[in-house]
Amino acid sequence: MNANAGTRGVKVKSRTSETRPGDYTERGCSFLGCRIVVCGQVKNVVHLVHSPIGCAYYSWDYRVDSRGYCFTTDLDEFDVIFGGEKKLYSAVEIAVREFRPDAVFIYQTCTTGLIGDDIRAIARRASEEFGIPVLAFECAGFRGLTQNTGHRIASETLFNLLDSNPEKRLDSSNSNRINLIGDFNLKDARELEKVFESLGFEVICTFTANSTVDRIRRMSEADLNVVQCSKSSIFIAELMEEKFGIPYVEANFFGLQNTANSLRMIAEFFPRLSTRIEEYIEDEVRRINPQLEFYRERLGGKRVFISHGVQRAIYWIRPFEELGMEIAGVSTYFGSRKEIEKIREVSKARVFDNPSLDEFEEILLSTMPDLVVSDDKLRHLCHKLAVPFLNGRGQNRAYSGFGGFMTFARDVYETLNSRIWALAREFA
Amino acid sequence: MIEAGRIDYTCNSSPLKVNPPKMCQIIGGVLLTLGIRRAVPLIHGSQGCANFVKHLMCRHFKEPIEIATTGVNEKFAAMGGERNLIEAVENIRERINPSLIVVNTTCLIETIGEPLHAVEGMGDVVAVRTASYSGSHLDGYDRTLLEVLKKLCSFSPDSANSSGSGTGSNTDSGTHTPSEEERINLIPGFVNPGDVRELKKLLSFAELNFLTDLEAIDSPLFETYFDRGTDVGDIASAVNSGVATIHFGEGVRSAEFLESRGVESIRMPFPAGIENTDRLVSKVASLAGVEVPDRVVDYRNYAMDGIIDVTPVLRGKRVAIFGDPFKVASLAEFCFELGMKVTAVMTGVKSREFAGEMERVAARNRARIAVFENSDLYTLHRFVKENPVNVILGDFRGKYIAKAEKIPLVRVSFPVCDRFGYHRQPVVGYTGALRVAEEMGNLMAGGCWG
Repeated sequence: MNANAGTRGVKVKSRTSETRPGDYTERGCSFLGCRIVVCGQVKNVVHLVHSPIGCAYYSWDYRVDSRGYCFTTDLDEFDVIFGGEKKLYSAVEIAVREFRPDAVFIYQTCTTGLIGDDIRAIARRASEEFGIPVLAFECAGFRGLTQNTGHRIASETLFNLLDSNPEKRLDSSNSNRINLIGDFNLKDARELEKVFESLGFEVICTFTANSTVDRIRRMSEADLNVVQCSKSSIFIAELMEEKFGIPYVEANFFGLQNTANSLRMIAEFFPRLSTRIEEYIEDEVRRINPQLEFYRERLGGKRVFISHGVQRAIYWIRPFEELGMEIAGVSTYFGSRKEIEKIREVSKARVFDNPSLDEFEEILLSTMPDLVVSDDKLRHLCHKLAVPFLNGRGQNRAYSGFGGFMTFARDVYETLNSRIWALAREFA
Repeated sequence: MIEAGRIDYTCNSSPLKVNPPKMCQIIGGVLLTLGIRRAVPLIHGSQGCANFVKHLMCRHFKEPIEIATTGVNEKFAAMGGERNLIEAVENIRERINPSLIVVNTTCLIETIGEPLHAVEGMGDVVAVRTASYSGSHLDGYDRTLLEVLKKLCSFSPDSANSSGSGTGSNTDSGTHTPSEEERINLIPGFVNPGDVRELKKLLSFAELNFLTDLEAIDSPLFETYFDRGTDVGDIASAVNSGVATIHFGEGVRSAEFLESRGVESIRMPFPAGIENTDRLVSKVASLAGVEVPDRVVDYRNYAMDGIIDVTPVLRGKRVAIFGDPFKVASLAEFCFELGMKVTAVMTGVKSREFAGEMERVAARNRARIAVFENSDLYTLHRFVKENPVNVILGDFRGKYIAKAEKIPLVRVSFPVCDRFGYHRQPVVGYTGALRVAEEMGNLMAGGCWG
């Protein structure tokens, strides 16, 4: 086990423009990116937030499908003045004794980053003492410009969990092992895992939705990494390529063409399975085509506005076109110029970078979409303005794969066709 | 039969907290600010803090809440974030034309020890030091109100005079415009829009100046809280009240400040439950110099009529309550009024008065109550496992205990993210008492656990 506390330094590179002071930003901090987006999904782990109450409380169940506990050292003024290291160590001790987790993840926040608590040393000591991995995530909120820094810190620290001498690697000629990286939605991860297993793959780890410490540890046994959200999780795939020579592909499973293309791309790495994959694609396309026709007839010409993280925004464009819909516009929270160019390549739609809520209201008025697809951040504004809204994250349901695409189409159709919008606008 | 009541008091000193129902200071400051008409909350520090508070509030209120951030990161933290703060203020003024910008500082700024001189001289900016490590959401609420009052009351001549023409949130638009001297200041504390709405309805016989009017947050379609709430001028005129300031413990610093400026401070128990509501009603009536009107007696009788119908289901049932200290104490008293047995109460914050309040409740009702201060839901869960209860009262995080123990949770207070409309449901007043009693009864009579 090479799971001692972060032995690897974390490099932080800024890739995006700064938030203008005074804006109503939708962006989070690197603590959010690390604790909530990437790490929060790992099961049977004590996620211990070493901080005053705020960060711990707000990161508790931030994502609706990550039900769990809130563990914190709840620092007060005394701790801030005299240091919180002792308290942290005792907290880890109690957590291990009472909850018997597979691992303890310690998260740094602004306060503990500034007062200089050496969480790496504590993690190393605790790991030796208690015989389980204790990882230190140096993800203080002030690091970097967006939560993307936190994604990187999370990936680079979690990488320490990976088995550095994977047993079966040399004997890979006969294996079909993959990791599904960058899906943080439980239902999507489960759905995709099922699909890949039915095609003859062995899915070692879904990183990080539905993952465990043990599954992460075995990730280095894989023959191929399938990266879905490259914005948030390309880091770990790159590290694995560098260290273990495991190749990766950037794939996505939203919509018919995207799913088919991604599967074919993966098939190139596993020639044995390519016939089976091709058959699967044909069967599925044949199966969903009549449904797709039904939705195309009813959704054709409707205009949708997409507001998501840059990766999801790019991925959603084609599925909407497959439904016969037009893209009224796209907005992202922290896309780089290169990524925004990428959106322009696939669509002629207008692109807005990091609009605040009040700007978004103007954007809605100028683009006049029939539907907004976003995550919960915009839900209440759209509802307030009686604009049809759908959560593209698909909470409690899977939108990935062929089956997921039809679930999505049905949700789009039902949202748009609800009578409530017209009634709401009657006296506007 | 227990002869005299007593409490078993525990103050948590564990280095590890597991599921603590306690939030940080800035959320209290932001909540207070949302109740001021055209005021903008500005979080000075990492942008994550603004995002977190906004996210939680959106999930609770189901409203598009907007919070500005100065977006200080490590580059600026090294040089000092003052420039960000000034730039933020200028940006907000230009973009939004606010009545007031309320700056709440974060741990980042406080740990570095940033000065706030740059904005202290500005008439339209209030800066409040609200590090998460020095208090809770309740302190943040009170400290922010205190600083708002200090700023507005000292800059008052202009703004105070303008209040007469302003559309005071709680002044009748009828013929009689009350003078500032006649008004009673009321600090509702960290409560929901539904609570303020109930207080307004209940106490409409008196002229009240809400500090601040949180009903604004629950706004109709096509409108937001931004253009609703207490006018800045009305806040400034709080010092001119010739009557008093009423608070329920969560606004004590602010009430004391007003007292230092000549307005009497009156502390009332949090008005949850019949008797606590009665006390508030009669106190306000006597301050206003009027009889309690018939319609208020009607409200009471309607509620009592419903409550009595529920009591056969509730009588003798055991209940555990958690949340903010003064709300918990009043809710405990209310449960005893209903004939229930409060076996455990828990608060996530430190409070000098909590044990004393609970001691009084226990003595009065000859009950034995386990009292947990500065504690967490894990501790309460362990207690409840060994000493089973029939129902839990608290915010939505109580669902973890409720699910594990297969007992109902009645959702009160903040936050309730997993249900709809609870920000609209009061716990205060007769209506609040009726709804809490009925909901407890419904769930126990075969609600979600059959």
